[in-house]
Amino acid sequence: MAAETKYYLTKEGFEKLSQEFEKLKEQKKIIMEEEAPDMADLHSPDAEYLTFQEDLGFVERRLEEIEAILKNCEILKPPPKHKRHIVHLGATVEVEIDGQKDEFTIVAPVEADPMAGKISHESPVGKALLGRSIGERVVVQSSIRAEYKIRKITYKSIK
Amino acid sequence: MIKLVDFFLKLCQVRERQEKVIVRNSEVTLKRFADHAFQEALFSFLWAREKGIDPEKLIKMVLVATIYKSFPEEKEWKKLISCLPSENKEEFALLKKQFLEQRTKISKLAKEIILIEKIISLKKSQAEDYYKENLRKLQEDDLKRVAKGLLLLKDSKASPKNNFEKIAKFLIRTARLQTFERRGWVLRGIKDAETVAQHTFHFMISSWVLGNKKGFNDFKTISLALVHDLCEVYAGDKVPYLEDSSGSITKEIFKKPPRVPRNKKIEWLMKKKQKEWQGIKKITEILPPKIAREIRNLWIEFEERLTKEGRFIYLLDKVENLFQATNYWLKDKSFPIVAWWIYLKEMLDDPLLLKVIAALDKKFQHRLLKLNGPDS
Repeated sequence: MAAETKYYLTKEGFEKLSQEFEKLKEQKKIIMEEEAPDMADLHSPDAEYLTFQEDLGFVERRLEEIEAILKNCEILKPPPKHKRHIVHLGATVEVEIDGQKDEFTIVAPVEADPMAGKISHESPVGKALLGRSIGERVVVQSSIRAEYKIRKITYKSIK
Repeated sequence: MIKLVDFFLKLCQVRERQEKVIVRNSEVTLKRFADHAFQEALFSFLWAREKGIDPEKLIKMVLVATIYKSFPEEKEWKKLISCLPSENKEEFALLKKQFLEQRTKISKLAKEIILIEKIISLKKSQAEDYYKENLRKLQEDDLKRVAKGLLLLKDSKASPKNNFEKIAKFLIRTARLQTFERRGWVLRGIKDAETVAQHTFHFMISSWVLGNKKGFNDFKTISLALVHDLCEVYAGDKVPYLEDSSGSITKEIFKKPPRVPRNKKIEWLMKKKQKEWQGIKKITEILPPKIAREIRNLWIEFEERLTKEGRFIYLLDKVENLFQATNYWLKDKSFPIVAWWIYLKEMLDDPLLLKVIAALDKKFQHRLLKLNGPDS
């Protein structure tokens, strides 16, 4: 049997998903009670029923997905103090790139939101930063060269 | 993968090709093929939902018909689709054949939908003549009602009275996206920049082809792309971390990816989400409620990346920008493309999309290497 995927979440990510899960369960109840189509409609699907089906299908799929994540997740904890100068999953890394400062929190793909500064550990930059320490210069390989100098590492998002 | 990259780059040319129709024996130049294709796909989606038919084949047919009309020479068409994976190649060829031969009910319907959508682009008197001239080609009575609705509601504030008129009014409002040039390109100094509609057309095709490679449902990925920017009719196009009021911007600032403090990023993102949510609610409120709800759900699925498909299509949207940026850069070497490459290495985590940009990198490696500074 294939091993189940392990999901690593920050505490904030875990809480957000748990809340969404509860809300969706409520939503599913509402859809089932208020909008269940007549059985006759099942044999002659009109536009309304098709759309209804999409809604319920969507809610159910999302519930299944969140359930799988919550069942197989591990909440990230900061590494021991002597390892906090190294970038681990959940670290917030302050970097300097071509004279500009930026800050990324390295998270699992399920929590990634690069526009909000949360980058996936499976992105080329996320991958390159993992395991590196303060003061190191990290180069991301491609024709266009980008160098990230690590200035600071904190674990504020998983404390 | 390089062949597929060639396909997407070549497809950027569709946006440059224009459509012509005959009205009262004279040729009238319409908007560009890609602008029309966006509206035709949207129309197909609404129509199929209203009539309870399968929207997937209808939308695919209008997309393939657009590509074919832009590359009508057999040699050109064959060369283009030879770049596609075999399963897509066969499907594209079959859809084109069915469309041309009008063999199926769906192909006839697609032809009528394409015909009607033109009315939006024409001036009122031209639109009326065009409708009258093509009336005999319209077999479907309810489609005639949409066409009449388009004529009646065009340039008027009258409220739609039935679902067909509601669809017509929605199409008139979303037609704004056919002339709405994307702000990021305009600020980078591009003249005659890609419109939101043209971007959506290209994005629907890449979502179909690459989503298929991921094993996703074609209709789901195409629909996510189709609705993703509808909010912009009212919310406008946002450029990362720039305020709407940022007027005096030079293209210099685009030489590097935007770097702002995290609180500013979140503040900008929240404002954008709020404005776009209001936008999608407003644009869909005119539609029959069930269709409106489906569009809003798809939009949220994309925007909030709620499913595997939503996450993939959201990231593909960023890759889409790189294709168009590459297209501009190939024409003008001063176009600031470096920032796109850096930004995507932070953004993307999907193995297939990383392969796509690796193939693009390989294709232009020599030219890209020259963009690194002398210290690199």
